[in-house]
Amino acid sequence: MSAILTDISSWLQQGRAPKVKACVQQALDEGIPAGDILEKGLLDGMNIIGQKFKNNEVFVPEVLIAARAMTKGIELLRPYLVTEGVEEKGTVVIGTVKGDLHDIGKNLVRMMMEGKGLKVIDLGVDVPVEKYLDAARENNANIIACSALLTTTMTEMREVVEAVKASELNGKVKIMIGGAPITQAFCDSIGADCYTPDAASAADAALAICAS
Amino acid sequence: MRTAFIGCMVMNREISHLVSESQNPIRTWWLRQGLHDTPDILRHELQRIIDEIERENEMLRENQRFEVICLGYGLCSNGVVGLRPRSLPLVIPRCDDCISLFLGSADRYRKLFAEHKGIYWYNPGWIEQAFTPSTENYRVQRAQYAELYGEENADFLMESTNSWMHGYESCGYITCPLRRYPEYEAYTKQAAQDFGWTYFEEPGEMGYFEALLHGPWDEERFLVCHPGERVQADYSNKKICAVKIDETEA
Repeated sequence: MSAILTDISSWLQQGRAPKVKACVQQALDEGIPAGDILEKGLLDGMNIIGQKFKNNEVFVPEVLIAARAMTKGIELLRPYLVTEGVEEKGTVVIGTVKGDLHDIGKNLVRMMMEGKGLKVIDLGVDVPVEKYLDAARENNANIIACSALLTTTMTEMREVVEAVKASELNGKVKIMIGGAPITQAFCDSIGADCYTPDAASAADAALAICAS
Repeated sequence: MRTAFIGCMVMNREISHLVSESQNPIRTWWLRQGLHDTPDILRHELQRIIDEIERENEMLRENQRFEVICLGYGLCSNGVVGLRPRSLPLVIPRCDDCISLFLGSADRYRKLFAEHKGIYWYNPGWIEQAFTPSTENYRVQRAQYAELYGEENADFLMESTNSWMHGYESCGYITCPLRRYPEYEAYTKQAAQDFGWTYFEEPGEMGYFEALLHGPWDEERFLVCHPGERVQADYSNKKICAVKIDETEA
């Protein structure tokens, strides 16, 4: 692998956005295809950070700055990716449920999904049930992803699941859930389609859903 | 009734007061504030102490043995889910977290939660034991971010990790029923002013704490998990329930 791609991965893992941007530019100048820079540089570094996060070797701030560096790199790559014909792999509508104003996790998931080539419509925080459905309709989304930090608000996810089931979106849109108090048992109990414990696996799962 | 109590340090003052005045002998174990951020560690610590209490109990003279273990924890990010006592009943209040305990009931907490958009709660225990938003605390936090992650990332991390503040509209100060703490009230009012929140005061109550320590533990407010059962999340306002442990996992 080209040394510059290793540098991109390494700087990304350290959360050094300006260095990542400079190296991405250099890689482009060297004529490396944008798709390779993304996969073998940016995503390689992000996957390593994601794995370290799962193993409790790094914490939220490290992941945030790495994801930010990835986003900066992708911004630079985007026009080239379009030219190379790297297509968006699916559409996700994401938001934090009604009554809940916390968005660190949701933002991380958004950045990770964007890194994987998904189009993400971010509805922000305190999102009422209908807003998820409306956005899913407007954008022809594959997935509605709901986040919650509070045990007080997590039960709102049940409302989203039931609203989708009762609508014409039933069967067309999958519902993913996540957040600190969410578990697989809770996911099963409300009938959501997918739970993942962290942002990296959320992005992988979303990609798999869109590919299926 | 001889009681073992395991609590979070945020309620140390209230519980310690009740312990000193109780007719029952109560022994207390304390954990640091903030373990709800790492629920697996909270669960591990609680189970470790429960096991320790039960093990030690066997060595005590019969008339000195504990008869019950009470937890000063609500659901607390699922930190209590999975706990299992082996020889003593385990009493847990049915609430999301300690705010309901300080306010005297889970219903009062839910009512306030519904009435206000985004409340940050302050009280003496939290101010003394936890990270609470203040200009000074944020100055320190930013300096730590700059040191650990570089100046180029410090502002981004401050914005990312504190973005919830934009949506919060009020800050509630729960008074301590034991005495006034003018300095903490002033601290909270200052934070409200600095962050553009509406300040309001809610009188704290001792009733939920008293009932937790002394019983009787009504089904509405408390779960009693017996040996042979473990705690499970309930996803209703009851918050938690007890389920029989499968023979194979025992």
